[in-house]
Amino acid sequence: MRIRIFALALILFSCSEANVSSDSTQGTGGSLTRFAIKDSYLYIVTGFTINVYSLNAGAFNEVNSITIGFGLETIQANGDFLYLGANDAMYIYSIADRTKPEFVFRYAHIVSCDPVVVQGNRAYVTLRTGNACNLGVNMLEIIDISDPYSPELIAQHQMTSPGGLGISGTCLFVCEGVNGLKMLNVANDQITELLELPEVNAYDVIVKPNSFILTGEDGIFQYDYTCDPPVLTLVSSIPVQRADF
Amino acid sequence: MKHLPYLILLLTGACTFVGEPPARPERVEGYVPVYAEASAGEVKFTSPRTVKAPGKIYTYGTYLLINEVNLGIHVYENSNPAQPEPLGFLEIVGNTDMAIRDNILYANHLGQLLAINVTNLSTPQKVGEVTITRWLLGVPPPARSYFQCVEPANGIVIAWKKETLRNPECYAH
Repeated sequence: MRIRIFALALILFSCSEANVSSDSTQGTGGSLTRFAIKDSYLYIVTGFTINVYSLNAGAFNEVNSITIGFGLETIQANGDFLYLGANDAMYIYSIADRTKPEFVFRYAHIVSCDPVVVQGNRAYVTLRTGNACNLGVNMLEIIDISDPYSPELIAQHQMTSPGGLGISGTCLFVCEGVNGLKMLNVANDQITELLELPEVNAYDVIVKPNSFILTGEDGIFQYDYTCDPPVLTLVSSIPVQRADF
Repeated sequence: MKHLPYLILLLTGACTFVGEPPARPERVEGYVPVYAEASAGEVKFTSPRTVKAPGKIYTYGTYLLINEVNLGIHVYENSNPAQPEPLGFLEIVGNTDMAIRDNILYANHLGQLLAINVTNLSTPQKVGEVTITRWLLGVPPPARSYFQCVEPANGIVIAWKKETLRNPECYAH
């Protein structure tokens, strides 16, 4: 059973990868990005808006700007949808028409800061109390987005100060700022903590199938990992020489 | 209209609460904003620098890009993750975000969006530039400090300078 779930996860993962590639090449950002590319369009979230840019050669231009509300912070494109992390909610917009993002759903919760990452039909969201977000909670949520018009919360897990996050297969990594990085298993929508790196300052992470790149105030760290059994191996680090004000 | 500067600061993305100071001291150590004109600085590729304030990261092929908050992008050749090799630094004032497609880097330069051809990294070519509608994202003031209130008309805040303030009206909690 375990192997079957893993195989299914691999299939889901490779499907979402396949959607991204097509003929052109593009890169990969972390969960805290304000830029998302889908086909030949770039979507930028400002504090208030989603802006759409045509990336076609000779036609590089802002083609649309849609006002959403306050406190937008992050954006992820997945299939025909955009997932926006905001101070007060996760917003879902359809980009079936690439130039005209259309409102689909506002998944609201109490005020908090929340990046979102999407894999297959699941969205993973972190909610954290911060200096400004002290009405919130410290939580990791898994949301079923099989029907983006009617997302459903299916799992929650208490965290310390979660922020940036990344996923590959069933292995989820959550940055907790000064409280380090946590590695979790989310197979079968069950959230289990596997390992943590409590010493490192963790801001955001780019997760690939067997490795990840972690950034934070202390430096940029590259790790190899396996989820089963849970193993983390430091591969290299780029140090930071902090500047004072 | 009086609250506009506060609003803009609230929207800077960092979770800093900004509001009325707890008290208004006559003289106090605090911060004054450093504004940048949208036209400040040209994009250029320089020799590798020490990473000081890393922001967002991005991978493209075997490249690893690390944003140096509001200054530009460190570029590493990362085909061997055990030994990322620094190639250089792409100077882009006010930069915080990036994405690459088909060898074109899209990067914010204060309130502008630049398209930069990075096929040959050592000679980056700016191939496009557009204004980002309502970007309005500056650098928030350091937490738990007094600061001189932001005047959006003066441009985007790219840094904060320590100074003695008189009767400061703004405070970052």
